[in-house]
Amino acid sequence: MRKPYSKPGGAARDRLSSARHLTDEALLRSLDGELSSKEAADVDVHVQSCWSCRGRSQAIGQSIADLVDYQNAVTAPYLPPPVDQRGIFLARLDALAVEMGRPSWLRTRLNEAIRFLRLSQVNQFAWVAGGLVLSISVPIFYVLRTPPVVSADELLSLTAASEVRSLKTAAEPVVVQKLRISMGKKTLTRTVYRDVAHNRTTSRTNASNLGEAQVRAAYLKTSLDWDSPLDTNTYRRWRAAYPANSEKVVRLGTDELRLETTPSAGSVTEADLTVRLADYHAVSENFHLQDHSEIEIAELSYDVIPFASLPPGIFGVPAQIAMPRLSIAATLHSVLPSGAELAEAEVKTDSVLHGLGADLGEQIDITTHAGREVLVEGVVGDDVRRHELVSALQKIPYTRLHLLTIDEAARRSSSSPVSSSVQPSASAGPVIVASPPLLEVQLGARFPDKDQRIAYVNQTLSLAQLASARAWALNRLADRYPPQRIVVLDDDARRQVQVLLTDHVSALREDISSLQNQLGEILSRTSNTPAANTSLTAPLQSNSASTPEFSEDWRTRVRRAHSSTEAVHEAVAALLTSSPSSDHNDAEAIEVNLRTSLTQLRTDLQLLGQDIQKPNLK
Amino acid sequence: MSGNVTSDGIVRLGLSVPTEDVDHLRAEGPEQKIVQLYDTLRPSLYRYLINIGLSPQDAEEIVQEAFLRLYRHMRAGGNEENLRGWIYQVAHNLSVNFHKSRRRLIETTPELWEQLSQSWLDSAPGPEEQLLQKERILRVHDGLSKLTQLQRDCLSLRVEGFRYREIGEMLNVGTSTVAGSLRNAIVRLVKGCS
Repeated sequence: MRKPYSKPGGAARDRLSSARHLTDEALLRSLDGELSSKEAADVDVHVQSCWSCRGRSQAIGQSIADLVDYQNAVTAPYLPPPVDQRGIFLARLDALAVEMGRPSWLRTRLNEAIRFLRLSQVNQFAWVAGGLVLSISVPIFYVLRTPPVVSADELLSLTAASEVRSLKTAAEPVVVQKLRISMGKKTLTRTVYRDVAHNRTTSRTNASNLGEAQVRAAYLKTSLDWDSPLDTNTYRRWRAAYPANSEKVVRLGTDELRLETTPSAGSVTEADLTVRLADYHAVSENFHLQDHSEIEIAELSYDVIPFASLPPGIFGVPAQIAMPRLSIAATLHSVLPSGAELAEAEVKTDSVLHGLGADLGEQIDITTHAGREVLVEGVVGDDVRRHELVSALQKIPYTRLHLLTIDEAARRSSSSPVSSSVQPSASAGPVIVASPPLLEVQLGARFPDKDQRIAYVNQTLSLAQLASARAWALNRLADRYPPQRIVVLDDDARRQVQVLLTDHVSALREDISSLQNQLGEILSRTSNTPAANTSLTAPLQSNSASTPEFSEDWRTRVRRAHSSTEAVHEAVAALLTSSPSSDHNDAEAIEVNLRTSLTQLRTDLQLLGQDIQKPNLK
Repeated sequence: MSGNVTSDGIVRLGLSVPTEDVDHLRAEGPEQKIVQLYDTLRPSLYRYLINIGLSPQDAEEIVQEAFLRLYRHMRAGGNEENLRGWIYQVAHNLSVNFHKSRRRLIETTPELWEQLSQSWLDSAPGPEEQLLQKERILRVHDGLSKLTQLQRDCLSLRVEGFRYREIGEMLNVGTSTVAGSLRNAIVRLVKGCS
C-alpha cells in the first residue's frame, strides 16, 4: 500500500500539493530547480513513493524534451548565423564609437567608481579567498608554464606567418585593425582598413585633423609606414633599413614575447614589438625617439573580413572628395635644381607611389625632364585615384604631374599619354582558354568540386600575377637607378632607395613562398613524374652549379629575378590553363622548368636581399 | 516589476548573479567587450529570435541593434551584471515591433514544414518510429499554436536557460505569473502528447 503523502507545511503547501498528490506546478518547479531545498526534498520523497506523480513528472519531462527537439529542428536550417554579417556589425560598431567619441576623463572615473561599488557588494569572503588562491596559483602557474623564447628572426618569421594565415580566413581579405596610438598626452584611436588584394588602405580616427596630424608627424619620424602601423612586415623593413646594434627577445608573463631592438642609426633609439604567444600575433609596439618622446601603439581589435562585407565606398567616395586643381605644372620652381636635388625628388616620388601601390603595374612613368624637373605622367583609373596621387605628390619639389583618367586618355585618341614601358602581366585579366589544363587530372583529384577547383586556379594565377608585378617594379627601379645615379644621392635618399628595394624584395619573397605553398597542393601529388624530383620547398642549394656569383651587381640579380618570375608566371599559366597543342610531355617539361625557376628565384632573392641591405648601396 | 526602466525604455535587470561566460570581460574596453560578447552570445540569441518567429534577416538586424544598444549602455556607465539577460531582453523588446507588423515565420513557410518533417523522419530508425515522430512533431506544433503569447515567450526563454525570475523581469511580469504560464503551457503540451 502506498505510503500516504505528508504535505509540506507553511505557505508552500497549497502551491505544491493538492489532496494526496503534487500539483503540476510543483512537479515543473522541481524539474526546473525552482524550489527551495526543503521543498525540493519533500517533492523528491513524494515522487519516489507515488507512481502517479512520478508518471506525471516523467510526462512533463518528455514534453520538455519534445519541445526542445522541436525548436532545434525548426532553427536547424538557419544555423549557424551568416558569417559575413560580423564584418558589417564591426563596421557599425566602429562608426558608433567614432560618433560617440572618447569618454571624458571624469565620465571614465565615475563609471569605474560605480562599477567598484557594485563589485564590492559581492561576498567579501569570496574576494579574499579568491585573492589568496590567485596569489598562490599564479606564481606556480608562471613557473610551470615557461614558454620558449625564440630568436628575433624566428619571432618575426612566426609573426609574419601568423598574419599570412589570418588572411586566408576570408575571400578578398580586408584587415580591420583598431589601434590606440599614444604620444605623450595625446592619444587617438585609429581604425585601419587594409585591402590586401588591391593594396589599398584607408583609416578613421576619433581625433581632430590637427591631433591626427601631430601624432602622424611624430610617427613619421620613425621612418615607418603610417598606413601599416603595428605590422610585422613594416617592422621588419624598418629593422632591415637600420640594422640593430643589439636585439633581444624577452618573455612577458606566460602569454607574450617582446622583441626589443636598438638600431644603429635613425631617429629611433629603441623600439619593441610585443607578440601574443598563443598565435604569434603582434599586439603592441613602442618607439623611443631621439628627442626623448615615445610613441605607443596598442591593438584594440584585429579582424580579417571579406571585402564584400564592407560598406561600399569605404576606400574612397568620389562625392566626398574635393578635387584638387590639376595644373599641368603643379609645382614649378624658378630656380633650377641641382642634380642631387632632382635625384632626391625622384626618390621621394618613387617612395610616395610605392606607398600608394602605384608602382605595381599602373601606367605611370617617372622621368627627369630637361634636367630641371621630375615628370610624373600616365593614366589612372578615375578621378578619385588621380586625386589620391596628386595630393600625395604635389608637395614634392621639382615635380610636374601629368595624369589623365582612362576616359580622358580615350578622348585624346590622337596622342598616346601612355608610357612606352612594358607593363607587367598583373594588369592583364585571367587567361581564358577553351581546352583543358595540362594538370587537369591532378586538379580534379585534389579538388573534386568544380567551384573549389576554379577558386584554386584563380587564386594561384593571382599570386603569380602579383609576383610578376612586384618583379616588374623591382626591374624598373634597377633601370632607373644605375650606379651613376645612386652616387649623387645623399644618405637619406640612398636609404629610401634601399627601403624601396627591401620592401619589394621582402614582398616578392613572401609572394613566391605563398605561390610555392599553393602549387604544393597539386605538384606534390605528381610524384611519378621526373619533375617531382625537385621539391618545391626544398632548401636552398647554395653550392649548386646554378648559384650566381656573390659579387654580382644587385641590378643583375634584379633582372634575373624578374626573368625567373616571368618564367614562373608563364609556367603556372601554362599548367593551369594550357594551350590547344599541349600534351602530357609538355606538362612535365613545364613543371621541370617551373621548379627550376622557383629554385633560381629563391636563391636570387636571398642574395639580393643581402646585397641591398649593405651600408653603401652602389 | 522589480527592475528599473532606463531612458531607452529598457528594463534594467538588477540580478546579482553574473553570467560566467561574460564576467571576465570587465577588465577590458567597451569595444572589445562588445565584440567578444557578440561572438559569444550571437549564435544563441540568433537562434532564439528565429525560434520566436523572426526571419533570418530580421533576426540578424535585431542582434546587431541589440549589441549596439548594449555598447551605448556600457559607455553610459550602465550596470554590467548579467549582460546576457540584458541583451536578450533588449532583443525581445525589439522583436515585439517586428511581430506587430509581420507574421510568424513558422506559419508562413510550408517548405520549412516539409524539411522539418523530413529531418524528424530521417532520424527515426523504422517506419513505426517514423510515424510516431511525425505525430509528436504535429502535437508539439499544435500545442504551441494554442498557447498564449506570454506562454510561448516564457517557454522560449526557459529553453534558453533563463530562471523564472529573469524571465519575469524580461517580460515585465511577476515570477509567479511566469511559473503559472509555464505550468499551463507544459500541461497543454502534455495533454497534446498523451
